[in-house]
Amino acid sequence: MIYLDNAATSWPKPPCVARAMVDFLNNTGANPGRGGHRLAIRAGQSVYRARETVARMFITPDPLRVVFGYNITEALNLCLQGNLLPGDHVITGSMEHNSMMRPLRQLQKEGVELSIVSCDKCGRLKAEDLEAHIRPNTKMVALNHASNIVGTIMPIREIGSICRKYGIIFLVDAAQTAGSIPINMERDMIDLLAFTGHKSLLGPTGTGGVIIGECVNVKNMRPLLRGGTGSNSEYDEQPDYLPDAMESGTINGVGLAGLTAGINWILHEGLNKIRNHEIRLTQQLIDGLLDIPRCVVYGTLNAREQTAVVSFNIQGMESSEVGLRLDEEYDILCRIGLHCAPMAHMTIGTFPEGTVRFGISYFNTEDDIIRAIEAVAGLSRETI
Amino acid sequence: MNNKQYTVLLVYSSSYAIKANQILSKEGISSKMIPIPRHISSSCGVCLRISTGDKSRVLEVLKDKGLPLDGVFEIS
Repeated sequence: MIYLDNAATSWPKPPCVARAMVDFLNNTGANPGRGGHRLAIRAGQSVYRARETVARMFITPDPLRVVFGYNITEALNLCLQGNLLPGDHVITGSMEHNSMMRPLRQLQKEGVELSIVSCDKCGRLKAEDLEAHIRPNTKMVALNHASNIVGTIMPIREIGSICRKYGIIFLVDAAQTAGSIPINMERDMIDLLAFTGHKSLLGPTGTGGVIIGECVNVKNMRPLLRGGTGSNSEYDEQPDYLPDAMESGTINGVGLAGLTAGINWILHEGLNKIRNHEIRLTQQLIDGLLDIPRCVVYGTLNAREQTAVVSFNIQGMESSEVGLRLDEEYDILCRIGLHCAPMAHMTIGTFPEGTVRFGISYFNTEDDIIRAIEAVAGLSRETI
Repeated sequence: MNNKQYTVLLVYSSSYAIKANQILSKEGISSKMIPIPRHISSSCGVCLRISTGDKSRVLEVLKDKGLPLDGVFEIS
């Protein structure tokens, strides 16, 4: 079987991930941050290690500003709903995922002003186009780091610098890039970095969160949930310090133990090595697909300008049929359709039919890519 | 560490206790996370127990590292 759906969830994981989770369940087990017995403290230390590891990955100094949650959708909702009020203005791009667009559309209904910067047909966004949308009441720029459909990478450092200049909060959705492209929260001038654990960070599902930069005033940010934090228990009001202010209820200690192992594996292997391998396979896939008659490939067609996802269609065959037949006849697993990003498909010209998407990981090989190209060529021959 | 005479440092939450514990450990100062004594606070969290003899150095180190304290209590 060839797994090419890594942009949705990475698989397989390095063996250390499952080992760390089993170890947590069998030997640590207790509730992190609640109570003072030795297992509770050990569990708390394990979660704290996860904070430290995430902070090291994204080059940010304070582990206590790493807020964990269920996934990046939760993290984006926290950042958007927690900071934007009626009368505020927010800018986003036209390649966003619904995890960004749906909360933004809801906020728009409630009186938040929304501007959407148009990207070109390859998904590229120009920083100067974004700057032109800034108004006196612009509070936030909220942008994905790379498209989940065509992988096009946004110029985040340039945009971060613009945001700093105007004193605007810069929220980056790193769902598709965390763990595959270097992110430096300080140098990229990111104020809110939302991440998910189960994609390129190689952790399990049910892990994700946001790093809240020093420029964001936590006292002005509203949590999504309020509840038990294991701290300030004598008061029935939510604490106003991180991470407790934004993290209520028992945290996913088992999952975070796995996430720590996944990130440490990446740091040990080397992010540049991972990125270079993914660039090589991505370009091999793009070039191979471009050689196939009636195969249309979307995006920049340059692996260095994008993450390891490639979207394509075979003319004369629906993406759903391509996906089903790749699975049943060629043993290749991929994702088809709109990938929860209708506006991005409108931008690249594939709405409403969608595309077939291959998502590559570090664990794929050149041979996997050759077999995937041959499979698409085989299906394409049937459309003559 | 004499268990009869020690100093308790209250911090905001268990995450802060772990952070303080790490900072002190790197400085070669012994500390232990314990449940907050009920007569000090009714919070259900943990605090840091240190030797009273280390108190002034501990306070200096934690202040230097920017770790806020919620209270310091000598227990005898």
